[in-house]
Amino acid sequence: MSVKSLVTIVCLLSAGIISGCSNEPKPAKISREEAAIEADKKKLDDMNHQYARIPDERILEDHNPNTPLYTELKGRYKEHLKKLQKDVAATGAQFVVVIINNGAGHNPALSNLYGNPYIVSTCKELGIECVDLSPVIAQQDPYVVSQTPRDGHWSKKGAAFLASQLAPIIRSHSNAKSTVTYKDSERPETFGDLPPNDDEVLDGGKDMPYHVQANAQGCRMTHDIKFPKTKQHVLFLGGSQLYSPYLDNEFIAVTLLEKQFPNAELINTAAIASTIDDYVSLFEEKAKYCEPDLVIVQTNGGDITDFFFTNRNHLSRILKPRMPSAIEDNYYSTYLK
Amino acid sequence: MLFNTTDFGIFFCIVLVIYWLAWKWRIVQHIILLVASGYFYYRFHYSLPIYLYCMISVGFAFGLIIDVQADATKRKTALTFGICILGLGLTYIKYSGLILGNIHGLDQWQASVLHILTPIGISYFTFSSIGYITDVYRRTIEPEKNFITYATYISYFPHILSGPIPSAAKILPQFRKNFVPTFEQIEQSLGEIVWGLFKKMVVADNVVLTVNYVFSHYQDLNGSSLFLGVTLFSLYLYADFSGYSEIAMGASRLLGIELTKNFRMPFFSRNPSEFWRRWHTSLRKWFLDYIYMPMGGKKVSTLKYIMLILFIFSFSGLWHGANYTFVCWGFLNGLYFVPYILTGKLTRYKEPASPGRILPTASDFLKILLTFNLVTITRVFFRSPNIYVAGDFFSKIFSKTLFDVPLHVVTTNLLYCMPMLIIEWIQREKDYVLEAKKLNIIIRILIFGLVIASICYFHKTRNNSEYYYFKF
Repeated sequence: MSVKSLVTIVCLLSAGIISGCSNEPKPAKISREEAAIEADKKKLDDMNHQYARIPDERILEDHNPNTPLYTELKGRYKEHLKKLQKDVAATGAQFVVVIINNGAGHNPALSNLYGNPYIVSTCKELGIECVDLSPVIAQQDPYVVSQTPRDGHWSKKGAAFLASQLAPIIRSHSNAKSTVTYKDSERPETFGDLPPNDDEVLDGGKDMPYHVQANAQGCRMTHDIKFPKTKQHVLFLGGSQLYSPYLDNEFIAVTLLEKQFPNAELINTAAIASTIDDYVSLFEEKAKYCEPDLVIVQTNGGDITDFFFTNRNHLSRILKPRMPSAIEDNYYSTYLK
Repeated sequence: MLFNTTDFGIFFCIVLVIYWLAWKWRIVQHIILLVASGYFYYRFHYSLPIYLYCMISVGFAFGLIIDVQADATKRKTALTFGICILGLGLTYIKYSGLILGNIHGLDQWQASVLHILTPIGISYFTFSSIGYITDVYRRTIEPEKNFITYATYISYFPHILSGPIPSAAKILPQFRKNFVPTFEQIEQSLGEIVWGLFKKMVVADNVVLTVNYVFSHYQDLNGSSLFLGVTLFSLYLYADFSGYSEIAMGASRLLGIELTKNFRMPFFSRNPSEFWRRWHTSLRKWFLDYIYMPMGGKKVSTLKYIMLILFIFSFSGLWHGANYTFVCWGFLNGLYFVPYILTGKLTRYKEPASPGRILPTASDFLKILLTFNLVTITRVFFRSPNIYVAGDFFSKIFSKTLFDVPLHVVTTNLLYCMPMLIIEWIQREKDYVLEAKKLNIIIRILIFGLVIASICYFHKTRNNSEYYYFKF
């Protein structure tokens, strides 16, 4: 084999590798804000390498909801709930918290066992309407309402059951009306975090493919929301219980509710792994601009343990590193031992 | 260790360098390949090489035993005995479920007591071993006297998982010769590897979720989406399996072994016979050499010939798995031959469709379309978990919703397959898809770069799925 041959082969390979792997040219100059965001992302990556996620249930494994750590997490939850309440109130919309967890038919997870009663009492304390669906969910057969044993999220029947539980809440707020409107120029392009006009099949790594469609505004729905609004707008903020992985759009609870409420626009901004601090930032940044008259927030006790700093660093929609508090740092070190 | 992973890339580069450094010593090269293949196979499960080396020992021993028998009856007995032993593992592991599952009371026992790990690629190396001892019996080849050479041949990592099923007469002698690659061979190897990666990582990995979705949600979809979904599955299967085979061929050529070309652009075939001469050709050749020809081939009456075709195809279905769906798939594909045989129109095309033309002739186009759809529709059996689901799937396809608007996600995924089909159509008369000998070296480099760039850009890491044919 000649030298020419060797050189050609090296060229063939390197040309491909270079052209293939360097297709994202770096801008010559980046602004100070962009630089700060990049620095945050880098720091977040470093922190996530340093601090792995720990299972939520470990935080409550000694069945004590009054540990300093859990008390601190509850405090953060309350703080964010209060913030969301205030943000929603500023728009004149009505605000309902609904506790939905995947505890059908069996003992609830520790995070729900201790977290759900705390959410109920906190809502009461803050004067927020709260509907706790966990007792009625517990009465359901998990093999019917969820995809057990492959996954704990809703089955088609489960989504229909959930829709039947949410319908009375929407109905009872049919007169809700916000006081704020926005100019088109103020409105962001999206209200939710899904890729706009997404139309793809996902399987969550569980070999359970499902069809996800998002509208142009990044919400899990198949039509766009038009302005000025002609119908009551009901905004859903939620995590996977409302997003419903492993179900096609047409079978999820919010789509089923759309058929029951033709005179309301149901806006589904739910996304996997979202929690209350995500709802706060999403509402402030994007969702409030869809001019909701009623805001329904899905939560459960898992949202409290989600405030542990490693969870936030790994899952939050805001890519900003959270440093551990002294209590968290101490807990993390103990956990590692 | 999948072919399209960094792990394999590193592994292969290391093996290649060490292998080339030892080019003067063939036996050292064999030892390198043997160790590398053992390691490659071990990476799937630590216990798998044990089974493999047992099979290799049995095959090697029977090769020698058959050869020393002077008496024809004894040779035949030794061959039969060898085939039985070699086939025992495959029959037991793959087919005991089908056999015992039908016997009341034994199905549970089989499931609980006899369940063991299925060695990946078992069908391939079992057929290779059976082919080898049969060739020795027929005196087509001399038996291999060196155990290391034989073990290297059977366990050779480019073909052990999903073929091509080697023909001993063609492949084994190559292990005995020294080899220095030419520039053309290296360019062809790289071309095949890059195109194989493109098919796997850009086409197959992107459409696999939609294919899975269509088959798991068929009850919720309309007929047109299901029809296009099966079409997508057909294209996916081709991209996945032929992509694998091309990487295997390219990698193997760099090691001096020219494997059997497993796919020759089958989707441009003009009748089922041509399709099967272009699809999984190594398996076809195996059936041809070891079943079809001994049973008479074409030298029998028309009725017997038809029966033989139906038997071979049903049997090849069974090779894919112990499920009646595979038998139906094979039978239906065999059935397609009947009208062609009866009307005498089973043309044996020697050249690709519409040679020298950019677009196919109308006649070729219609024939290609018919053949593609005939073969594609049988994939419902190939993919369905049982006959009832397949029946249900067919009834959903051929319903009044067949002409409804199909699901957008299915049609967009079909678009992912189009560049592959168009490029292969343009290059259908070449030895390999990226062949461009007449073009300047710079342009050839750019073409390679473009394909590699598209692999980097379009590949979805989260869909890094296993090759479909590993399960066979």
